[in-house]
Amino acid sequence: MQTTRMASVIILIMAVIYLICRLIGNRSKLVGRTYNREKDLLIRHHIAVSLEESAPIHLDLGDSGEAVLSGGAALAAAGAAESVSAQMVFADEPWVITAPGGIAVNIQKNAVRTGMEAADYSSSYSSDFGTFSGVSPIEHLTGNAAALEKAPSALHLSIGSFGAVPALTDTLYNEGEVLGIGGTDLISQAVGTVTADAVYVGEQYTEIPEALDKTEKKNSALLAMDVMRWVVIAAIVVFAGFGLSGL
Amino acid sequence: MKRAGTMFAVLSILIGGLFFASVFLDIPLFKTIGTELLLLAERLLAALLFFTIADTAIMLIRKPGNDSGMRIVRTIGFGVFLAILLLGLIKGPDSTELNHPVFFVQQMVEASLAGTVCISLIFAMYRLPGQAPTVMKVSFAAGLIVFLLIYNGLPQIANLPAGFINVIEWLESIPQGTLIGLLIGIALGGAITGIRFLFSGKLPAKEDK
Repeated sequence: MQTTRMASVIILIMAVIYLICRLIGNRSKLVGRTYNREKDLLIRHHIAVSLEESAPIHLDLGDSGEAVLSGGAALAAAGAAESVSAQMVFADEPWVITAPGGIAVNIQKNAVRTGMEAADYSSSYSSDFGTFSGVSPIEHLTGNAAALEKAPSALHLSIGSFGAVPALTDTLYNEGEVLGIGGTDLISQAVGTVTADAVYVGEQYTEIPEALDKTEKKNSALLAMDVMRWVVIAAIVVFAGFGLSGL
Repeated sequence: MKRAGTMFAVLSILIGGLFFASVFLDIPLFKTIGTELLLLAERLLAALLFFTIADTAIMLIRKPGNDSGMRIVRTIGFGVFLAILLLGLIKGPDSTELNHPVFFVQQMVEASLAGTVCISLIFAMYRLPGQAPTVMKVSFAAGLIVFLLIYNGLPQIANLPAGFINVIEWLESIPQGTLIGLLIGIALGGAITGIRFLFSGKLPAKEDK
């Protein structure tokens, strides 16, 4: 119960920080967040390449079990699907979503529909967007290979827990195909560092929906995340200082 | 739709409030409610897993794939799923006749995957110098070289002075700290996404535009 109490305190602190950021976020000059890191620019560039060269985009969700419905990666992937779909309404080539289960596919489809509605092009929606590609990481890989065999994609964006599979994915795709990974497990992050063109490390996977969209946004959840990041860093430094000084 | 959203929000706040009350207040009634809520959540997740399995099976039957590759993958996938399900129903979920062959096949696949991953990673490392250098990639390569040198036993053979040994011991503690840092980051990311979804009721890309 002690651990539950500690976790509850952290969640409550995060909720309070989020609400404060929500209240002041849009009025503050401090929160004009844009994502212009090299990896964000690369990914956005390849969304533009996809539109120009009619090469599809592939968005892949890799969690399994109940996490696929309500985990952070599933929500981030749904946000990414929404963000991409709003930009891809004029695309000649349909883009592809692969997910490890029918329910997960339907959640992603719903996100696509929402994105298209936001862009006032809900008539462009087709039920063929989502593809089930296997539950386990290795089954997922073979499913993806089968789902994407038609044409080289401009961008593959994988969000979730993939284990060591990105190492194989890298050899599966062609030279010009860009691979982005927002891993939620340690192995896929480590493997992604050498194999992927854009890696979102640690909590950065939650930034992907925003990173995909070039319009400037002020997002209170990401601001809250930044605040928490500095709180955690400060806590680590303080406790490390205590440890070193023998207190 | 809006009414359903409001009801969902009210229900979430009510359940959340009761759970937090059970954690922070030492009142037996709230403690019982908290335990029951956790039990209910576990049962719901277990039920959801059954739905997910059924949903996956239905999807494999109804959508065998538009092209030959997908059809082959899904037919094999569905065949394996049926075989394991039948074996489980006949022999029971804890029988060695079920677990042994399933784990044997799983281990074989995982061992093959691990081997292929090693080769793929060596190939990726070989290609790394030819790619545009990024901070992450350079750090990864530098870390790999340093830890290969540390763990191959060279420092022990080289009879290094005490100062160097202290530095090496400090370097050896870095991966553990990095690992914990990454896990904290992943957990915080998941929590903040969940909080954002609960409070806004919208997907991440929709909020605050």
